[in-house]
Amino acid sequence: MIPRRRRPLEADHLADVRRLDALRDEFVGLVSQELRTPLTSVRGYLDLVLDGSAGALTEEQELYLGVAARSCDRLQRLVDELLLIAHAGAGRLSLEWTRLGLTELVRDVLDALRPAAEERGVDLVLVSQGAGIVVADGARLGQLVETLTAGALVQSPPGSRIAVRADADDRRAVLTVSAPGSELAIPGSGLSLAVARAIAEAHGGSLEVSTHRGGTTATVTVPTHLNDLHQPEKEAA
Amino acid sequence: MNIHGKTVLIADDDPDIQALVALRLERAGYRTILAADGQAALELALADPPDLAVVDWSMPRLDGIELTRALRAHASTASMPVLMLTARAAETDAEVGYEAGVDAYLEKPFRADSLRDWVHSLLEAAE
Repeated sequence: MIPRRRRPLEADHLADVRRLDALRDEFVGLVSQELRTPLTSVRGYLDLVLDGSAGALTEEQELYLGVAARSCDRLQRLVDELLLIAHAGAGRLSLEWTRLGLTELVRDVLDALRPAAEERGVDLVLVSQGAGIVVADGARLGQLVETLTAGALVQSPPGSRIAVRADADDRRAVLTVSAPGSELAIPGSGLSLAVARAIAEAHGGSLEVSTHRGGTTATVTVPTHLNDLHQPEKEAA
Repeated sequence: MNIHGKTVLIADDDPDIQALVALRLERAGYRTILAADGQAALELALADPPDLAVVDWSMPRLDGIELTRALRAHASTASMPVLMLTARAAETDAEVGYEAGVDAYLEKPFRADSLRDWVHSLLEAAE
């Protein structure tokens, strides 16, 4: 009897891993879809009450409903983050590559976060040398900086300072967020760091978090892709 | 553009969301017709073509993609603007929607002003 020829074990294993990745991606997509539908009703009807469509509200009612609406938004962000992590894990996070100034991108994100920082009494500082040109997905990279800085903001006590550093040479860009708190993750959710890491890795980079005396620093390193000739869309950018 | 008298067909199998969309559009001045599945929406649209359709993706009998293709295949509804309002948020989903013939793709949860703006601009472009 001639033994049936088997594919190498590695090929079988790889096929299994791909199948599992596809299943996970499909599952998270479905969960996300199922969660969005009730969220649409909750947020939509809350908005109807909040905008006065159902009659005038007392200040107290508006305050309580505002808390519910913000929690709804937070839930939606979590659903979006789950979907992003699933797509990134399955290698299906598509990036729109453009040539951009790193310092400008970080400044825009910090400017958007400044009102929240002022409310908490936290100083947001940008430390940067030069423009730092990179080829990256601006929206995703901005999301990464926003995720890390907003996470640090929540952990930082009044009177403290969060320093965001952005530097880039020809080969790589380094972004650091240093905060006095002990953790950079938003309380109650470890998703923020996973999101930041997924975005860094989708750019071919990495994220490291180090805790030191007096605080925590998250360091993101991504290639600038300035001399990458294997990406036609980057050449065009 | 005068929106008075413009009719919007809303196809969604979730009665709460269907009512929410209708309420928002009626308050903006539109007349609405409601359908709880794609087949019912198609029959309503062919019997008396509305000015625009807001369609969900996942619906019984005929889903939003099949509905859009069917609308595009009939002369009376071939150029009617279709706005897909869906909880499907994968990046490839929107591409499938556009390939089927939808004119705009709006994800749930949606903002009331985004819905109104899209409906208004699609109707304006159709004039």
